[in-house]
Amino acid sequence: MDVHAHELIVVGGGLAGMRAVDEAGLLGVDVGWVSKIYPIRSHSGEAQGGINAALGNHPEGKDDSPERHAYDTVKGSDFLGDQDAIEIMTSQAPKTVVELEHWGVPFSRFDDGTIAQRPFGGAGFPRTCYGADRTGHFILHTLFQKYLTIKDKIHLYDEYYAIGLIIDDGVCKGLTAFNMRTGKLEAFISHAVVFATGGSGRNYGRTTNSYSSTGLGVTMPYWAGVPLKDMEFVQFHPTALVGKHILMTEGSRGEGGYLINNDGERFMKRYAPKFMEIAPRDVVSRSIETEIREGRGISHKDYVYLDLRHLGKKKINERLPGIKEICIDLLGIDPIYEPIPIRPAQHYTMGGIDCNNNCKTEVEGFYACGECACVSVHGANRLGGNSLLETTVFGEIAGHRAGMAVQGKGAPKEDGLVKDALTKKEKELEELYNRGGIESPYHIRDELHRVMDTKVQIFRNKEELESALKEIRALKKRFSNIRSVSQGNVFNYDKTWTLEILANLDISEVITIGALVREESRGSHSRTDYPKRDDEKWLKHTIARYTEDGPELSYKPVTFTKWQPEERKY
Amino acid sequence: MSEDRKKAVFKILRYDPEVDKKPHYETYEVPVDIGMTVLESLYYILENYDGSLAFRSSCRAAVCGSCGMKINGKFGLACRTLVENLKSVKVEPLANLPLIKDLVVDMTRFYEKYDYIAPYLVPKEIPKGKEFYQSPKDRGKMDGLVECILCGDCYAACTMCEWDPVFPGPFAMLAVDGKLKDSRDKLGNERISKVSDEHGIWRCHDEFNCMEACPKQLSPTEAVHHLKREAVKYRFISPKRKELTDETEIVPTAPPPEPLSARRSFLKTVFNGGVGLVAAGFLFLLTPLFSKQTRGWVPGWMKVGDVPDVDPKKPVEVLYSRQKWERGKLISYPQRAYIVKNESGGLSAIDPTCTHLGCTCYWDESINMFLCPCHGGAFDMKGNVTLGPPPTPLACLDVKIEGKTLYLRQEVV
Repeated sequence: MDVHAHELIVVGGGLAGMRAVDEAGLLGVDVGWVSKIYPIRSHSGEAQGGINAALGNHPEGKDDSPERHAYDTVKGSDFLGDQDAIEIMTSQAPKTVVELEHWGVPFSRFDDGTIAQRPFGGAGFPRTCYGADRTGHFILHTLFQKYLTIKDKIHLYDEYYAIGLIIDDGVCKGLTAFNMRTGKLEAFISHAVVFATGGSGRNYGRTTNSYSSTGLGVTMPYWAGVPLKDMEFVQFHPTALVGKHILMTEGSRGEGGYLINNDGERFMKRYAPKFMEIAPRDVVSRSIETEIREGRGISHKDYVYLDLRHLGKKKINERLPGIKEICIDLLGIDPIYEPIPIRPAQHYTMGGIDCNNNCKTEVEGFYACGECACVSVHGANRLGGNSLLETTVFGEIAGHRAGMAVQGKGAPKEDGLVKDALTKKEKELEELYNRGGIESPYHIRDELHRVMDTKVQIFRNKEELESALKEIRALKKRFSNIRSVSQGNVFNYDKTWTLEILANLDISEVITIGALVREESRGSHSRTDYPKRDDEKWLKHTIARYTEDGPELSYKPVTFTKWQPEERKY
Repeated sequence: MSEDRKKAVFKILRYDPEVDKKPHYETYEVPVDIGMTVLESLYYILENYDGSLAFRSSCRAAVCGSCGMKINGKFGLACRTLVENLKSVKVEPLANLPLIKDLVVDMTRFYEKYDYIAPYLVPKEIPKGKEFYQSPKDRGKMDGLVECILCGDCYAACTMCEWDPVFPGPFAMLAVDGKLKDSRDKLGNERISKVSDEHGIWRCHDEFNCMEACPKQLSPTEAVHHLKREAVKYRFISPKRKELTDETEIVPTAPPPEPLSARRSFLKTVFNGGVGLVAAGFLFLLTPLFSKQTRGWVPGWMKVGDVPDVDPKKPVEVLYSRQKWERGKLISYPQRAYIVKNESGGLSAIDPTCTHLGCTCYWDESINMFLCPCHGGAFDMKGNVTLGPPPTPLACLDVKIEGKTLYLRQEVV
């Protein structure tokens, strides 16, 4: 039996995880870092546009302040975000970005040598700090390099696939994980566990998320009894490359790109006359989808154009080189000369593991940060540029809080509990992998994608949601009859995908039920049968708990500090 | 799709360490849609034919660097290679790294090398509460160096990585150069010492394989060239040698070889002595290799232009064209020469073709020497070797001045 004992275990190799590891490492804590892929392969690296901080470097942003940033975020969240958490995030933002710069992030620069900032959706001032259109990649690599300076104190377990939390009597004791190289199940024990496992985009077929953002990281605690919050709020990014669903950064609109329909019209003037293309993502996505539904998609098909041609060669090459590269490589289109065909696609999971401002969950010793967590700073809709900020700010908080809690305790001693948990998990997997049925898990997943893409999407209604829920439950039944997985222990991705698909089914159920019950339209959740926001009844967080018969819902109040709900106009 | 879907035949290297003694190939037929990538095809195979097929993947947008592999003989990213126009696709794992299973290789060595070169910023004095100020120009110097996604394609394509397991590899050189050009970094040229020993930059053979393989169109070779130039400037030939600071006077590490003319008279002596005829003849045949090749070149004076104003301490670069017969045609080649003031106050001309392997040297003002970009050769203003592998001094050109016009001629051998 392989058991690894550390004071603290961090799961997830992306920005939030890295930041937590760094922070705990600085406290001298013995950290075990578990990631299913090598950290620099994480989805954080795909973030393009930038990271928000009220630095006031932009000539038009001199009056910007963390408070204005907080207000924009609250308004963007359609007043569902917890305002105390938002204020923590926005007040930490300038410090965080400057810190990242000191560590070596190659941000783009203004002529005066300060960090360059660009306008972004839903923001009153240009405050998104960027490094061309590779901001996430730059920050991820820089933080990884920083980890290399303290790597002696941290044990990295890369290509270890976390699959189950060990929780005993309301206290988190560790987790079980696959070693991909041997296919063996191993146990990790610690005084605290930090989850930074990213989003659950792969519940959808049309998603900008990577293959690794599956949502298993949210499902593990869900299965173990930790509640999830606000899962029905799923962000659709307005501009994803048609067919490939690859992200075309919001920065392309921030730099001045147009959205054009079949009539050659900049249709955003009808939906957000003031902000135009840089309205928040939920607004823009709905506008594009409406254009398509009303037959004004290009050639009456299901896409519109993102037009960058007027920006000129120099600006595109300098600020959006990644976008240009993707378009040329995959569609053979050069955005300097041709408009880019785009359509909204799933992009971000606002909901996640329910935790407080210190990233603590209701289970003792279990912390969550980043996209898998729901503090909640994004409420019903996240503003572009706030996700990188959340990962770094709350990654730091989680690492610090968890680190302080376990500091000096020494690695825990192994007890019978771990052995039991391992045997139990082994048995579960044995059963899952040898069902000997006829269904292919991948076909079930394709069906799930179809359901989620068509029925639990930007515009929702009771009828479709009910039918979606029925179909998901039918798929769950079908899943109990899956074929046995492929043999072999070394790098057997068939095994991990099967588990991920099982997780996808459960999370999709939580999303659908949450959306069905919430009879209002708020942020990214828009019900055609309840088109108005209903603050009286629904200004509250959805909490979902796992039971054998599906999620059990309850509600939790939203925290207010300075801003009372008002009509949201852009 | 109205007609039958197009199909592509995939030939994939398969190896399961638990079963197979050695790798073999298996073929699969995959229906291809417009815009389908190799990565999507691999997923098609995994999901429909064989769940045990192992390959790494994550972002599918060419930023995570997981899916580097060999596709139809070329290294690249599976998520960035379209199948559309290919009838058959041969997929193999990255080279130069140990194979674990199918298309999954052990990247440990690769990551260790990244760690070895210390890729992190060592900041100068940190401004309090403010970012470092960095001009857009300084930031621009890092363009093409910080976009690397560590996919390993260049490492697999590099022949030196195959020959010398200690060679850090193109990606590592690129990272070193990136930090070297970062105006915020304190270490500066100390960084070069990590890659300038006998397993380092000098082993790069300029094959440009890394550039061809790079899915981000970066140019590690160019970075290596920059590092080489910097290394020579600061004489970090090897970290084992005594490190010289800027103030140290540069002393030749080896006695300068005799100039060509002296060598010729030595040969004469050998002939006159009537000994070692064969060996001498052999040597004689070799001499043209060290001097300028004359075959096919049109002899005679070449017009350069107005006589330049030459500072006694600084050579002036001039361009002229030299003509050559090739397949019955007369072709002009642009050439470079440096005009220097000689001791008698007249002008001499130096041919900057390195006598080691024929790269073109350039004058570096910061250390007042001619530097060769390839293997660290250096020459003083007269063309004598001061450092590195060149066997002989730089060749001189004959100089003629008519009125105000300068003419050059290759030294007649």
